[in-house]
Amino acid sequence: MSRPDVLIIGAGASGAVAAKRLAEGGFDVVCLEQGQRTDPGAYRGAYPDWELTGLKQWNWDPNVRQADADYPVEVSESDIDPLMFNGVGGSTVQFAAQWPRLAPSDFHVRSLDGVADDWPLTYEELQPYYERSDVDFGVSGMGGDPAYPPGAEPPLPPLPVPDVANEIARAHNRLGWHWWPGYNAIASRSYRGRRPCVQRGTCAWGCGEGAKGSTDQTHWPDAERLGVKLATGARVYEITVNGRGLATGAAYVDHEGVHRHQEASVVMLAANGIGTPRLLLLSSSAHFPDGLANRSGLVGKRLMMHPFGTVIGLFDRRWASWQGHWGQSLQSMQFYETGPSADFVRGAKWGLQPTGGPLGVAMGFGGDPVWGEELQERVSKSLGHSIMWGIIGEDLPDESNAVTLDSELVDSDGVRAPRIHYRVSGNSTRLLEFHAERASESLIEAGAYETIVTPQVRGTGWHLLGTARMGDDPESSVVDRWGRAHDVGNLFVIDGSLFVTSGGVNPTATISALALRATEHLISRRKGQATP
Amino acid sequence: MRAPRRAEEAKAGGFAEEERSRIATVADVLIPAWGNLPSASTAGVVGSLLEKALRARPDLAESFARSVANLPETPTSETVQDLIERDYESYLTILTLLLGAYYMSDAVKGALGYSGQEALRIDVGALPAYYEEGLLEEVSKRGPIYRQAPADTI
Repeated sequence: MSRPDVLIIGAGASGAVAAKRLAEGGFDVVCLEQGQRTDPGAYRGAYPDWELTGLKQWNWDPNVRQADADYPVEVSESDIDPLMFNGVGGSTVQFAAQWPRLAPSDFHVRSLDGVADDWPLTYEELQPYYERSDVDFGVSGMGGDPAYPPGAEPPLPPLPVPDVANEIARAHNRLGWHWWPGYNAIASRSYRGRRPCVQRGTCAWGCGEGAKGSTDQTHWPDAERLGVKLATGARVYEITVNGRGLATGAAYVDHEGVHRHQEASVVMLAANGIGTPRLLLLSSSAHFPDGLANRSGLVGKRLMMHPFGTVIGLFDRRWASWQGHWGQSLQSMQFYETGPSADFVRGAKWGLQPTGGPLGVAMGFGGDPVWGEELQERVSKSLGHSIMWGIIGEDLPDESNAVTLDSELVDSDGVRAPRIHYRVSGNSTRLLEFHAERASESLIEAGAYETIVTPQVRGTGWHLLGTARMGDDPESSVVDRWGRAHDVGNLFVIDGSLFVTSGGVNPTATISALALRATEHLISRRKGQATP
Repeated sequence: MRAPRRAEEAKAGGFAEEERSRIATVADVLIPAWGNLPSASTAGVVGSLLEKALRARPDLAESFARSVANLPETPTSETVQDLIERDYESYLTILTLLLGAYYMSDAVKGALGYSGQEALRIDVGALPAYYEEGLLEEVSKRGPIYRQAPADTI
């Protein structure tokens, strides 16, 4: 391939957003993706073995899935297992498509609560990009939510909710607590060639209907039609630089094991909060001995993964608790902000979700599997009688929570694997305990006769954030407010690594909005852009 | 020519008769009859259902066979307890495959009232109860709950 204007590494949420927008702007774009395209017909949601295969072939954990495209992640010093999908669409292939935004306060955590850092931008600056991303991804929801400033309606009406969700809404009104129909990047109606959701409840194991807003459905068809060259099975192991300290492209191994180099005028990293710092650290050189773009020493540091807890409510009433979208039917931001008498800072968003099929119930989501009569009793009580609040707590940045390179572990191409050091903070633990108690109150008020609380679940590191944070000061941030590396003028980071703080919500709406914003900035400054 | 049916069943999952008996016994310890739910062996787990489970999870075939071979001839509750303490991975392998097979049984699904993950059509004309009852208006009336940044930080 000849030298394109822009090389994007990673075909997930942010890579797809950038590729499509750059192509619309007339740029010549190449994207290298280590995984493959996935045929939606391969998903197992419509088959009886969906839960069995979900524990292996469609597991969210690359260390368990061990597909050809996956690289190992050393997690022996991590309290949470990081999760991802490597392929066209990236982790949107398996995400739940919950689409909340950060709240205005999330951009000013230092100023408001005296912890962590403020972002170099505001909610108001990002709002137009949120709204355009909503349209691009086909978001279902309802405007007017008092948890956010006024703005445009989501393009599609909310998805249906089970009747028990109405009970929970009534309960919250009695308690005076916030709730709102959930925001989901799942089409509630036919939308731009996508079919509407069929409420099968298997979103997180791949959407065979194409209703979910994974970027292999929402962005890549348009991007490729506009001329973006998407190379799959291409595993990048180094960002190359010239003597002036500018990126010249990337070295990669193709699907046949041949080592190649792709030149480019600009390089955009979109490889997620683990893959991106891994590549930057792998790209050390005489010019950048501590890793590329790492003058601040912060590449890989401040990893945030959102400790996640669940509270399941058991009800006497019966409904198809395994159906619906997964996804959230309702969300609550009642305790999102720091409370006046709390022994922790910041808060969490709750998302109301189905509880899955019988095998998942038996194996215990986040708990231990059981057997014998206890097994039969658990499944009989829960299946058809339960609903779950999923609690995403704000994860404050800590430089000791970090991605480094492992000294021994390598991937199938012999490239050093990432090593995770991550400990759940006392603030997160106290935060989740508080929220689990409140979520139990919510479900009891709605008529649950019992709640099952799992304050923290290990295998829930869906959100990989903060490992190349943005900021105005090159001494305390890796990239500027537009995602451009302080140290390398033609290198951009556009994935969740950018996050200054994590917020307490699912991050893909924000990742996509930030990627769109960074891309449009690059387009607008194309004439002054440094190139090798 | 097709083999006689009984011979076919005997080879289900590639297990000899003695192993199948052991699997059925441990399956009933792990998944006993309870209420209207059949036991694992009554549900026919050790047969075509186990084959289906193994086809879905070929990665577990070898460890399952090895784990079963290491069980005593007549596994009991004590056997399972011992396995959990001594070899948790083997316990998980056996439990996962047998449960996966069990929940693919039509009889079990019928007893649970579980119809499987069905494709449903969204009724575009139906308004949610929370909307018809005006529940959202109550939320709105309580006013904004987001915090704005201090003016000097913007």
